Amino acid sequence: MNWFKNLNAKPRLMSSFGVLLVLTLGISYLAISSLSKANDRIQSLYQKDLRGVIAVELIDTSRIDLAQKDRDALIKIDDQASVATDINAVRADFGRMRTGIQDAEQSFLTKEGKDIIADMRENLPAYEKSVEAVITAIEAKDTPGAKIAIYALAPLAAHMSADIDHALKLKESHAEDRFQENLAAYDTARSLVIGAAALSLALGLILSFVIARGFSVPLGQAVATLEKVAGGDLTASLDVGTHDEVGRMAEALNSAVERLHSTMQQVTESAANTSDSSQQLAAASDAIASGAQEQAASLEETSASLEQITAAVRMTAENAKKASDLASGSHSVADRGQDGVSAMAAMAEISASSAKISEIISSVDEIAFQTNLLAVNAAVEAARAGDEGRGFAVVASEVRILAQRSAASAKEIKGLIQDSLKKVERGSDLVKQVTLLVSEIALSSGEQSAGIEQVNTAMSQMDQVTQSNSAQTEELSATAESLAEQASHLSELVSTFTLSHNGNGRRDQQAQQPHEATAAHHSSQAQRSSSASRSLLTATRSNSAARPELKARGSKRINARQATPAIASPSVPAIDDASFEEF
Amino acid sequence: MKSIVAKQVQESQQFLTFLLEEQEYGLEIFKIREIRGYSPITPIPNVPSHVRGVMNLRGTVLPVVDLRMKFHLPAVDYNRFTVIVIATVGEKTVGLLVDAVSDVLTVGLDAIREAPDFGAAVDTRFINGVFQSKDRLAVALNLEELLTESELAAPPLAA
Repeated sequence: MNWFKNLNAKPRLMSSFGVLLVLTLGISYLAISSLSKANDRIQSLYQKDLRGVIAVELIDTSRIDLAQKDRDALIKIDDQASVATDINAVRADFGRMRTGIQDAEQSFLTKEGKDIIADMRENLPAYEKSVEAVITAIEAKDTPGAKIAIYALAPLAAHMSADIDHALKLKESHAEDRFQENLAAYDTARSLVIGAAALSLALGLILSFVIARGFSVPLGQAVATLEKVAGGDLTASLDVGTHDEVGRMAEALNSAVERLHSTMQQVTESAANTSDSSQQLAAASDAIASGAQEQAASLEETSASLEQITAAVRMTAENAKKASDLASGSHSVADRGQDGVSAMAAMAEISASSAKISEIISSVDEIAFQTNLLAVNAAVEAARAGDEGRGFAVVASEVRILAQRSAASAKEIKGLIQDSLKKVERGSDLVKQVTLLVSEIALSSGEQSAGIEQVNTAMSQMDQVTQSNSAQTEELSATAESLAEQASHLSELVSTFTLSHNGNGRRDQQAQQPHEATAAHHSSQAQRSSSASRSLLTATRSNSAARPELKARGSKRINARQATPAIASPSVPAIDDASFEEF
Repeated sequence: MKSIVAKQVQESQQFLTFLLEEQEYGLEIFKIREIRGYSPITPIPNVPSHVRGVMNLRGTVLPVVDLRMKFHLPAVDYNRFTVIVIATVGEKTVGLLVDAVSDVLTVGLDAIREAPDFGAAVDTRFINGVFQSKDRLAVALNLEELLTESELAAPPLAA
């Protein structure tokens, strides 16, 4: 029956109906043919048997009537009128008899029948003749002649009557035969039709059952499977096994459900991956936020150091100014009342005196030199003069000695002067060095201030970076949050389906929540850190006058900074804001 | 300081010693006319480089020779302590620029040694010999060789 099951719906239904139709046609045919046969029989019954009977009855009634009329005529032989009427009636009867025989000839078609009717016809003229003889006698009012004629008529009449009976009996038996035939045919036909009907019924029932089952069972399975799928069970599958439309539908359903199932599996995987990614994002955001926090802490430290440096630089500049004032001779209030002579002025005086003395000494030196020259000249002259010049040579040599002595003394004094000049120079050099150093200090203070400004700038840049970092971290954590939400939403959606690797859907949902919280948490941390660094920077920039509170503040800030790492508890905002209120 | 007693010893000679770049040189005393401090020198064009120019000595114009240049010693700036030795050679009188004069020495003839080879410093034509002056050697210069006409031109560099 498998080939039947594998037929498509249309051929199957059509073939089943076709079979039933054929059966119906068959039954109809049977019925109609039986009916038509019956009809034929009835027709024959009517046409032949009944009409034959009627025709024979006509003959019979005519015979009887004419016999009667003969007698009447005989009885009323004297009544001419009634005799005439009776004679007309008798002739009419013969007319009717002839009509009857004609009719009977139409209806008696068997050999026997035909013979009988032919006999009748043969008999008729003799009969008629004898009846005419009677009529003549009657008309002649010959009663005894009439009676003899009637007696002569009797065998002919009897013959006719025998024929008539024969014919009637023939027709009767024919009719009965046909009746019996009909009955038998009716029985047969009835049995056939009933049988065929029963067969049709049975076949119809079977076919309808089979077809109905053939559709309803797979459809029912399909419905059950679809209901399962609608309920979320994507592992359902349909095994119908046939290759008809329902079977193909089942296959299509199976493949659709498989696709859906695999898609959902992939979605589950994607959701898991997404939640993993969002966890990573959150971790990265953690890292950035903690980095920003560290940065902010470093910024705090740096700004504390900067404040100290600024204070030191300021003090240095002040001291340098004081020293410079001292060196250049302008007096401050505190210094007035001291000896009132500045180093530079004193040194200048010494230099002037020394210069004068040097002048004098150099002129003494020159004098000594010239004297020496003269003495040498004298020695030369003395040498050239020979003996005479001996005393001169002695004098010259004495003069030379004196000149050399004075030269030596001048040299000594020069040396001393130079010494003291050197010392003065050194002193003024020192003062100059001091001035130089002071100006260098002032310069470097300026540079330091510039450097501090640059550091401030850098720090504000860093703060901006930290701010943008924290903004980015916020965005990152927001993104991670939304990603996690989406992933968990996805997992929720998918978890309503029953998939073949159950249990994974639920897991990721729970894992995301702590990370969402952490990500948001760290972003708010980063925000706080950046706001802290910002307020610190403002404090650094506005630090135009170095205040001793700086150091105290620095330490307080250090305490605040030590407090910030304890940002695990939700009470953190309170602590941070309290510390930063100082600024 | 040495006290000088001019002994008229026939076997001695008297030198005037002067300094040039820390080296003592000696000139025979009879050739020396005068010793002067620094006087302005007028440069003369077209003369050899060791002739600094001319000077006016009480009306007489004499050429001034820069011995440093002559001896190819590095040049120095001359100030008022620079000494000009006026020397005569035959009929020529020349002024010699020296760093300083030291002394008038009497040196025994046997104390004058032959000049060793100095190398590049001094052309040995100008050197008569060397003698002891205090604790150093002084070079006795030959003024004639120093002041020949052709020698007023720059001498070739001694090897």
